[in-house]
Amino acid sequence: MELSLLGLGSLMTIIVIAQVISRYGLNHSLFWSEELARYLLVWLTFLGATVAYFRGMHPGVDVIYRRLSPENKRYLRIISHLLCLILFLVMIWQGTQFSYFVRLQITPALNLPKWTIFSIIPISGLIFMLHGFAFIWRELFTGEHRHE
Amino acid sequence: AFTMKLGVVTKPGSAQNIVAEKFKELVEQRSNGALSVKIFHSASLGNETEILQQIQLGTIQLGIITSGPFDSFDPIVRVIDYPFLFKDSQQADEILDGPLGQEILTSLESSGFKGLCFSENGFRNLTNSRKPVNSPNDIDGLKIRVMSSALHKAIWQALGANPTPMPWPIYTELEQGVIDGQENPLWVMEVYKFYEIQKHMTLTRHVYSAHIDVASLNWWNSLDSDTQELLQKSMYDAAKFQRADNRAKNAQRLEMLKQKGMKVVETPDIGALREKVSSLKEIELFSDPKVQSLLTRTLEATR
Amino acid sequence: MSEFGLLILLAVLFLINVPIACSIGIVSIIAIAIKGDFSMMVVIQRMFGGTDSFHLMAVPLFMYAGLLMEKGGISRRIIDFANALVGWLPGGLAAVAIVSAMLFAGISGSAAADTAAVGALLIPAMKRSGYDSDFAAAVQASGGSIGVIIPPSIPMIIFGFLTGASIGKLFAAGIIPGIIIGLSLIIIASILSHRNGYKAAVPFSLSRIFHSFFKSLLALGTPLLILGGILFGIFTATESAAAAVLYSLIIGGFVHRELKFSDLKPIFIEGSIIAAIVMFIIATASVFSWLAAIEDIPSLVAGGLLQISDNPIILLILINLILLIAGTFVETTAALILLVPMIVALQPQLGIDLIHLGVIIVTNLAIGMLTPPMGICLIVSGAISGDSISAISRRILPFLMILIVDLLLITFYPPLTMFLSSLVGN
Ligand code: NA
Ligand code: NA
Repeated sequence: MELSLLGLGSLMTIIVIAQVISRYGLNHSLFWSEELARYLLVWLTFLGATVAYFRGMHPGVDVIYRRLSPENKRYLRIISHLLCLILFLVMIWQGTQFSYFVRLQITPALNLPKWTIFSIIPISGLIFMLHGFAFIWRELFTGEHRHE
Repeated sequence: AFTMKLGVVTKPGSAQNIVAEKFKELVEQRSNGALSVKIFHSASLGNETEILQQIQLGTIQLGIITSGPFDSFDPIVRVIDYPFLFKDSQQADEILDGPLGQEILTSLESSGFKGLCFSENGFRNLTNSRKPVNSPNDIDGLKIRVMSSALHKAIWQALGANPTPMPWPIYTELEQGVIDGQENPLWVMEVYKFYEIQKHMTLTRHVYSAHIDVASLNWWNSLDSDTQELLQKSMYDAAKFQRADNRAKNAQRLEMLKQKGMKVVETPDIGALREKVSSLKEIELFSDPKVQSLLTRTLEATR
Repeated sequence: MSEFGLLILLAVLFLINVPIACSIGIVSIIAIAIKGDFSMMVVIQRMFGGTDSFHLMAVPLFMYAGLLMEKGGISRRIIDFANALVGWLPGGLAAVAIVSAMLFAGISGSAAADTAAVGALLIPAMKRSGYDSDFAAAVQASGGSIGVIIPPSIPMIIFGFLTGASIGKLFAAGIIPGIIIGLSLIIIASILSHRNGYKAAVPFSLSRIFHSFFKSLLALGTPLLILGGILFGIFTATESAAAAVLYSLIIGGFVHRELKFSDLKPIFIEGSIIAAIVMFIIATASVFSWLAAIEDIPSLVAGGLLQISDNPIILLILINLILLIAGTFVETTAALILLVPMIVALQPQLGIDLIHLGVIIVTNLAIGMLTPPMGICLIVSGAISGDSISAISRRILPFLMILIVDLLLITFYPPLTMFLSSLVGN
């Protein structure tokens, strides 16, 4: 997963640099570069967000949480993961529906089927959900948790 | 009272907004307040493609959308954007208000849109910061910002330019010289103040930019026929009002742009430009039989 | 459920430590489910549409650039130069921390990155020289907030993305306010250090200044590359970020020879994750702001404010207050997406330029990064120094006060922002 971020991020950087060089060096603007780089950014966003969730890096407001007993902290973490599942399930369910909804549309510059681009949302929703289940499982049955 | 939601991407004062506001006025007046229209402008709901998707989803009911974004839903709209298709506004009206235009509107139903009628951005013209453009030779190598559309890219490549896709707004990029020029109808040059940063304009009139005024088909079918008729008539009247308004203002706009210091080439060598793009009707984009058939008949009718 | 009920729910989710991005997404989903007349698919469309932007590509690119500069020895040279420049002042290291943060701000688009990059070296150094740990953290946090005012700036990029304002002009407009804020922070830091008996770090030496200046010349060239490239029309803001990545690769890898090929992998991965955290907030907040738009909330709020007063000065003060309060509780990106449409709806009554308004908003949110509970600079700084947020918050009060003075100056004296931005493109 982290390797995919390396690939997406470096490819995006290279494309933007290539566009500048091509525009000045060759006086020929790459027509596909802007669109492709944008979609790489979207993929990077959603995949990167799942990695950040796995690592517990998404910022929250912890003023109350910090003052709780370890036991109460554990309850709050479980509640938080359960609530997040609402978002993840909508990403999976509605994301699949939306990908189907745009199945006939193509992207303007690259002529790619749009559903392939949009599918990153249900895919990342699924990854989010699996992480979420794993967190809850550990909290409930093994007593471990990855992060404070 | 039922409030229908109408989406446009541009800001108040723009061509789309004039149609929208006139439509709102007519509907509310003719229905004696039984129907009302809420306009969402300035891309507050998303870009034009996203507004169209929201119409398909029934989240909003209506939209005044330029023809370009329909391209990814139904290739038949490409015919309108064919370069140097219409000689003048009267011919554009004849075709688009006639059976050929109706064919496009009807075709949109398979994508979930009820096509009501056409209003206009107007004929697109070229501006640039480098040199006066009279003939295709002058276009050679100019970095022209074009919309992210395969057809517009093909047109400008055929004309010899270096078409550069760039997201709107582009004022700063023009000002800084990241791109040399852009192409848009006259009202855009006025509303977005391109006269401050672009020295040269040529009335190329290379593409007639239409709006397609659409409703959500599911929603439309749920209305009784009186309401349908009222809405259809109001949209058509709003569109006719806006087209006349836009054309009436174009003369003043041209004067204003000249006064602001733009050098305008009013009669470029259209024949030579047209010649450059003559092979476009054979390209892949028009290869769909339905599209090719409509294009052939429209070229026939406008000859 | 009323809009008010939804806001309460959002506050509850925030307070029980549900990630901000998820909280906003969950509340939006519940609102759509309750309303019942919108397809839930619009959640997906807005999450996608909110992140599908050429302008926002600058977010990860500036993250990569910042990390590359740190690894490539560029930040260390900047700190050496700052040390020679202001290390001789009373409480020299505190001034060094702020000047380094100002210089690093010219490279980094994020206040958290600025605080972390400079603080990692300077907070331990201050503690070793006998500074109170919580004071050292407070100094570094306040300096780091300049990271979003001196360009490049991620919040300015997001503001430009939301309003269509020129990002190049916003960048230029931030330079003078950033310098003023930096200088005012140095004055406060020096006074407080003097009172606490902290000594100068190094004696004043012109040759040291010149020596370190030449060693850091290439490092200091980065901000010039970014701004110059935009000002002279060589590239767009996004492209300038890519150019900064390339430049820092070359300087760090071939000139300083401190950046190894094996460093690239962790840099691109970590940079992508940090960018994704910001972008994911943009994704879910875009759903929320779509809902707000379709319910017409921005113009209702703007109308409500106009009921209080239509005097531009009072309105600007009200806006500053709302932003300061929002910045206290809400993360910067979320605050921008939620509040900018409402504030921009008031622009005609305010009678000020959109660029000026953008800088006012970003400055407010920069101050919000220094206020608990949601103050990213406090969090980063505290993580480095090992102090609690509340301990640092006490020591940061004098800095906050001078920042509010700066904010009023920036708000009511437009030339500070408009002078440089009016030069862009001419
Ligand atoms: Na910065
Ligand atoms: Na805060």
